[in-house]
Amino acid sequence: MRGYLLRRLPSALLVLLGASFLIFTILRLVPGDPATSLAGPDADAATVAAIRERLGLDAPLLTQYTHWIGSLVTGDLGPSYAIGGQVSDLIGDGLGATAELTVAALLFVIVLGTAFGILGATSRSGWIRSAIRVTTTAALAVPPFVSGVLLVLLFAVVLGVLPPGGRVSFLGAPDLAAQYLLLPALCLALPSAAVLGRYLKDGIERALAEDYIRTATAAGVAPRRLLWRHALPNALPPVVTLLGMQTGHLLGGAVLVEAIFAWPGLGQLAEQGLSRRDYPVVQDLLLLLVAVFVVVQLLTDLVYAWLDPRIRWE
Amino acid sequence: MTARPQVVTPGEAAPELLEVRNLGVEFTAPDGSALRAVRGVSFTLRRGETLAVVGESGSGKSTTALALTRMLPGTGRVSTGSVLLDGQDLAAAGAEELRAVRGARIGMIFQDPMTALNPVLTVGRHLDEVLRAHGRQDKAARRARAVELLERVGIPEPHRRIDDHPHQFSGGQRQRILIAMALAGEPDILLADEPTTALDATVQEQILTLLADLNRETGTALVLITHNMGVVARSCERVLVMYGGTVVEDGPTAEVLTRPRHPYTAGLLAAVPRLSAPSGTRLTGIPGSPPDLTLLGDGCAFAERCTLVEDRCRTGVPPLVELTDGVRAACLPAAGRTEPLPAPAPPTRIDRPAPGAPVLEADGLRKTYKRRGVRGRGFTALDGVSLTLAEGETLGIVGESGSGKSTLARVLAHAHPSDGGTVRLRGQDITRPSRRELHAVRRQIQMVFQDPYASLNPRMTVGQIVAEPLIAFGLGDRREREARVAELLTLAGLDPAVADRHPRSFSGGQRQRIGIARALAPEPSVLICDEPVSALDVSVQAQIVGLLTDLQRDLGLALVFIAHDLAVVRQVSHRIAVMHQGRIVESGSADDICENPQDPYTRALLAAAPEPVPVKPALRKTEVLA
Repeated sequence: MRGYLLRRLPSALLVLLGASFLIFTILRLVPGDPATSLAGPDADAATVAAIRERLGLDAPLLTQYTHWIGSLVTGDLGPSYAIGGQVSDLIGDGLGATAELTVAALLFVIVLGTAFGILGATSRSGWIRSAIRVTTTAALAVPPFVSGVLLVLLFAVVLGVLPPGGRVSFLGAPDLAAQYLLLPALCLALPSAAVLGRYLKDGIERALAEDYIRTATAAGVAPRRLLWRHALPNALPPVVTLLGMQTGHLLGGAVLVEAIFAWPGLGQLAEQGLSRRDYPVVQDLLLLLVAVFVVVQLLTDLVYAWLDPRIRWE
Repeated sequence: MTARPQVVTPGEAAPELLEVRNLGVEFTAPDGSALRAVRGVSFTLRRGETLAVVGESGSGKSTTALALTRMLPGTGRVSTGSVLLDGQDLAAAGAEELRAVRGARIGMIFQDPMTALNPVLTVGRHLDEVLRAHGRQDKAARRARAVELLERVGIPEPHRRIDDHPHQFSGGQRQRILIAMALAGEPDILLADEPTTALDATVQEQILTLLADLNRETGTALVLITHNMGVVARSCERVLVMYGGTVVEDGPTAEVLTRPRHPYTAGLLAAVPRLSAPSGTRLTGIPGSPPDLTLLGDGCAFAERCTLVEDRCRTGVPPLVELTDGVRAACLPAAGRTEPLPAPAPPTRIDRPAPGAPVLEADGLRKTYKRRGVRGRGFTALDGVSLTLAEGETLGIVGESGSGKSTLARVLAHAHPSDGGTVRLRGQDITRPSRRELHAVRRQIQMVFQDPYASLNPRMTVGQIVAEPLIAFGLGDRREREARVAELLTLAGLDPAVADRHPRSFSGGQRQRIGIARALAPEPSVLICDEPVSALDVSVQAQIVGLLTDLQRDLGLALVFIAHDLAVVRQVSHRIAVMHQGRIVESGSADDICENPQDPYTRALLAAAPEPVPVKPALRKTEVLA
């Protein structure tokens, strides 16, 4: 396995390098300029030029790019342009909150998706199967900014059982923190759980129709074991791949959900950084997300090989 | 395991282990109508007995087997009758009772060992699941027993291989593992549904030997479901012949195979190609095609294809009545006969002119498939293959799976480029053709494929399928193409009016005719047939082989006939080339190869081909290849 990881390393670094180049270029193509936005609407040209010089924006693009990469390699990300404070502190603060949200959402995706998949494939009750079909279709069709508002309306406004937004640290009051986390995590998880559930349902149905299930049935294996020990392990590998890709969706979706639920995470930081043309914050943040995604993909491949003995780490 | 009363006093007949009475199975068709797949099947099985259930596709043999333990797929259900296992009616048993029977009293083995094992579970887990399902609690004891079982079915180094996964075993070994699973619960009955159909002849021989040994040593009764008369003759004391969902004949194998009472049994036996029949013998078939179960009326299912048919055959299902010596047959005309059925017409010769000038010559063909990855070694599929083929000649190519037969076909047809060697068509080097030359070469060399179900596009009409090569080679305008399609369909023995229909409404034999019509469309001079009849029933394959030889006579075609069934190949071919591990190990006239084989591999192939002639146990062929 170590050999496999070592062999995958160059391509992972290459992806990061390519992504850094794209991020850098696209940010410079976005209209607007940090110096102008920092100087304010009434500033004269000399002030803007001074700010530009201070931030190093007057240097050639290639120099700016190598300077950025250099800061990444040394680990000193430097100060932000507009938001204030060190970039590493800003990202560090937001990262905890976003990680909390995405991990909670991921758990929801796994639990709900598995439930949808297994019940959808094996329930004898047509009513339950229809209910799951309707739920997953709705979860897929309704975007988070609608489902988020609906969830807030129902649980915070009408029922008044959960807070409408904000975040409380788990260190102080875990039960309260969980209450604040529940709605945003659910809102973020629903579409991915629906996708996962449908794939898993199809996978289980396909596996249950395979010859090896007939073999096990003929040997007298009990129906429950047929599902859990014989069919499910065969349905899992493609679902794991899907889960890896859905993690990317969750990270992207977090930006939206954080805005709806006033969740102080990376999404809010990204939104602020973008609107104020804070290049260092946005660049580092986007590259971090790419890095997380690369690592998740690598993990997915490892888990896939672990689940399917026909695939080896080669 | 529960102890079973088995008190048999001397002189008293052993009680029936399994008694099936008037079993009927129905499926619900998509339109809601009932499809009767099995009708009124009755038979008995004694302890330790070996019973073959033989029939062609749609005969209901597999459905009957699955119905015994109520494992029918989809909408299938037992509609009538009873299945008495030591007096317990399985047709009326509950889910838990059935589960206790499956694996413990009746063990099952299925056809395709490649798909019948769970790819993510180790072999040990497979066996462990069965042992566990039947009440063995101690994990270590289960593992020890699993090793023992693998040892018994002939898996080398079982203690080491028990933790391997199915993909690490060969096809024959996987079938052995499945047999071990079926034996794990120490069943009284082993139900094997086409256990050797997916295997090569030499491996089939080993598996049949194993099943016979197990039957002898453990006293487990064996029900062997097969379409292969040779397997029946080789393995079972008694045989049940099924047709159209009914039992048509039942009796001791030696009796049924030598003096069949039912016209279908007789026809089936005559249709089985014999290895002893010399080259140029026309195969005998049964006219017509197997019945469509949705259209089956009340009469005898075989009436449409029967030579003895009378009016009364079409009005009622003939009862299965005892005729002589324990032989029962369900045939009204046969019931009145005291003498055996009239002997089938003696085999006729294929009338065809002697082969002409060479048309296709291959010299030193090589083909290596690269493995994926950097360090993977290649697989050499063709290793210096040379052959010639003359106008009007049939060259048979035989060999087991992986011998390179299909690769050779593809390289000759230029579906794959070769890595080395030369191919000449009428003297012209076509090994590395330019684009334009390749187009011309493909027109000259056409292929007929094995699977008549998969090789026709289900969304195209028959007319479109046959016209496809005409369009590809720019032959004729729309009107001319239509006329040509009609002509081709007639040539292939089909009604030109079928051009508007889709492949799904045709039987296997008819589909293969469509495939042949398509191959003939661009007027090729060489036809490469890759296992053209191996997916077809034996009563139908004679029609397709006959069609190919007639077309060869009329059109002067050169045929490459690739098959694993030596008997068919001998009858149809002028010359035979035997392939093994990418090489031609022996070639020569078809009769010489079969009568006087020189290479040990050829001898092994010939020895492993089962003949539909009853054999005494002492004369059974032993394992030839390790």
